[in-house]
Amino acid sequence: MGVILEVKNLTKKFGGLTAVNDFSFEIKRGEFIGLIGPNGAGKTTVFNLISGFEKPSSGRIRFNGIDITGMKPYKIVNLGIARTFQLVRSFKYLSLLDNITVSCLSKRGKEVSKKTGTDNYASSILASVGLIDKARIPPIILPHGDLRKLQIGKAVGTNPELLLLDEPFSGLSFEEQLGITDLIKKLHADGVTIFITGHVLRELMTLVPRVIAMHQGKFIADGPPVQVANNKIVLEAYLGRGVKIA
Amino acid sequence: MLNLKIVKEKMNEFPSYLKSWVKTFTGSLTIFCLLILFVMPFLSANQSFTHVFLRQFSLAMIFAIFAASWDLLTGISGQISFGHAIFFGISGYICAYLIKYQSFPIWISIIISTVVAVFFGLAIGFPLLRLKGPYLALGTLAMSLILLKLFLMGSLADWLFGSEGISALPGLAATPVIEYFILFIFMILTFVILIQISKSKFGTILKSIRDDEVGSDASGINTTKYKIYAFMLSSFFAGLAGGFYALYIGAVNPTGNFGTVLSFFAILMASLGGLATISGAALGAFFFIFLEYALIEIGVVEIGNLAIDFGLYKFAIFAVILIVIIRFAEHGILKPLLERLKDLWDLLLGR
Amino acid sequence: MIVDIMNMLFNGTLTGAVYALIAMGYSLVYGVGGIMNLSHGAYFMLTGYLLLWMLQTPFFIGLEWLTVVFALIIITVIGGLTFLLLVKPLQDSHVAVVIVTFGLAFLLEQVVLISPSGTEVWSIGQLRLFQGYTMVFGYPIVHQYVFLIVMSIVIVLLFALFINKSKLGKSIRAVSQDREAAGLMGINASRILLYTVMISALLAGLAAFLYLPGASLDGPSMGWGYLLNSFAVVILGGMGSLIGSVAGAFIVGYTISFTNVFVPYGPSWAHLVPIIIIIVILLIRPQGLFGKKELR
Repeated sequence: MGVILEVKNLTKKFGGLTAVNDFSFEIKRGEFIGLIGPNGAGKTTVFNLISGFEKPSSGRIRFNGIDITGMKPYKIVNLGIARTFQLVRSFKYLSLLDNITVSCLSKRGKEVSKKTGTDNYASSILASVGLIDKARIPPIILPHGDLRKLQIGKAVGTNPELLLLDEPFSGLSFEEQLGITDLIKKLHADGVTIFITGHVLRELMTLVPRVIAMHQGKFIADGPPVQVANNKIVLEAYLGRGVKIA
Repeated sequence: MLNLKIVKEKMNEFPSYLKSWVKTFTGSLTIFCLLILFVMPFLSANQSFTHVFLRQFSLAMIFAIFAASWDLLTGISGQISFGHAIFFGISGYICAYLIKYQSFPIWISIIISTVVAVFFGLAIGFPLLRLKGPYLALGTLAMSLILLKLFLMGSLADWLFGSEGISALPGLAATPVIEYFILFIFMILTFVILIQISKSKFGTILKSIRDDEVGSDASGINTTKYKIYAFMLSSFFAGLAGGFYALYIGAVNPTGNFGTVLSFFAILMASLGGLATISGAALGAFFFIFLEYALIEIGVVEIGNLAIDFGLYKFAIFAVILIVIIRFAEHGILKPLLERLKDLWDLLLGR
Repeated sequence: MIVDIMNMLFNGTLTGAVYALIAMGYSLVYGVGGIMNLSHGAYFMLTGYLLLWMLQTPFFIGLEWLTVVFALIIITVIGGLTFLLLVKPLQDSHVAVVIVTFGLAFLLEQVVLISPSGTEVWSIGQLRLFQGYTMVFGYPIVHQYVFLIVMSIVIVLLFALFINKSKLGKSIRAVSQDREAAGLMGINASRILLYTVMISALLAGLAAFLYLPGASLDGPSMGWGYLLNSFAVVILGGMGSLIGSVAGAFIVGYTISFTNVFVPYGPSWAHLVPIIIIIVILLIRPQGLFGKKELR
């Protein structure tokens, strides 16, 4: 199991504010790993930096040994990193099938769709996220839970090696969360490395074998969920200083 | 991008595809409209018919091509252009210059001028595409005004022909009827190509950029590349229309070929039919050219002691129509119109 | 030589003062509501013609000052109606807002064009508050223009005071920074936007009243030129930045007057200067020279 993603001394400053501060970690191929931290800890910024939507102030990001620091987002996708967004985005006037088709037409998506045909490939992804019966409708009339699934489908269409999921459970009911959990587990079983954020600890803790915790842009802990959850700094970050935990 | 095997398969499928398309409501309606347009020139050999009325149809076809090219860029790809007259005008000028001063044959001139328009699309698109939404709208408007002012400038008149422009060009064809058929064929070609593009995978990518550029980027699409393709394709057809227009009028001058009014026309016509429909542009073009013709024909009407010259009011009327359409029927009238017609048709057939 | 420099300095200040007024409102509307109002230049143009039409009406003889009050009220109302009838229902779509305000600008231009005064050049010199000029270093300084420059500075300062100190001004700033949060604080964002568009129309109207009596009405298409130049100003200063707009206005003003005076065939190139500024700035620094979208 080689290292798939290597982040070294990553720093991002917005004006006077340091959103990500000297952040380093490694992810191995095939891992299922969470990134936790309270709201505003800088999780989304870390994702934006890895996926190229923001350029780091300093530090390096390597993917499969290739330096991807500051690369354009689509190039990073074409190397094999796909992502979803915390606020759902979709092509609102395209059918669900076409929403996925776009990713299937990306460089890596094409490698698969060349063999199976673009429409078949897109349909199979739509089926795997459980939206195939809605293939012809546009996303504007979709409930929130389905939009989250669509997001994952769009990311999967690019045929990624590493999938960044930004708060995939936010705003979902318990049943919907279960659906998404199954979907993510299935993707992981298919060999996709998964990196997932969440600000509520509980939902992630049962899912992933390893988590990284961050607070105010800084790395604070890395390890199995139980261990990280009992880390004093993590508890302080979540609950405030001086709160006694039973 | 071009897969020959698929193209070949498509070609073999084509006759049956066409057959089933003709049987659909929109298919038969389209064929019906095209048939009417086809027989139109044979209705009368009267000079006033061929030289005045028929020429309005030719004009409408030129503008249909122009408006459709705008729709590809703005409706389909979401890149708002308020300066589409740039490509229309530059192509017209090049075409006029080559014919008049270099004695090039008409068709070679049209081809060269269209290619130059594409080059302009690339040259203007490349820097301007960093702008988004309304900024791009004003950027393109600014570009077209630069060109307009450069061409109007007295001090550059030696190179750019000043406000007089170039006149006394030969016509596109010997008679208005031949001109009509040439434009008819080119209009059909343009629409077939543009509609196929909008329905293709390429079109899906353009629409995804329109709906959510960041999302498209996150789906691994090189959005800049596709936006430039859209700009070049659009300027190709705008340039084609511009070349035809120069020959249709027989002259070019700055306001007539670069004026804001032309960009306004493209927006107006495409919006009437409905953004992102392509075929709506044809509906809009025919509607407005004939509305303009009618308003000029009606001319001065005296109501009481008030004399209203409808010919003068035409642009004000157009502007009101544009505002009303965008305000109340943002997606144009083509789709609702087709649905009503289909309902009526079904009713008549007792379905 | 000194005459040329005087010419450049004075005309640059004058142009800057006019555009500071026009562009400030334009920028404010974009900053607060993300609305690109393409009819903004037409407001300026229309105010000029409203003044002209009223001055031509016998009723207003001896009551010239009333025309100014009426014209400013009418243009403010038109600004409000633009927002209520056209912009507000379409706010979700950038394309629609841009097209509909483009249509409105075109309509206003055409309405003026078909009016009896549409095709000629007119003067509304009756509304000059100050007559005559003073020679300074051999260059005539027109008193009306001095008045304009002073008034423009006063209005800009009052406006800055209004935005920073008044309740409405604070609400406007709140909406421009975070519309949702402002909504949660009980601020009706829609109403604030309405006021903003009305204020911007009023500012364009004031600019017309101050400038046009000393100049002339060159035809209804002049609105586009003012729109484009204010766009240049705002692009230079950064959309939504008031300080940026004012600074941008004077930069554009001096650049135009410099081209006019010192460049061969200057007057015809001067028209192009703002457009070239737009293109260059958009390409080099899309966020403008003076920082980001902020109201200060």
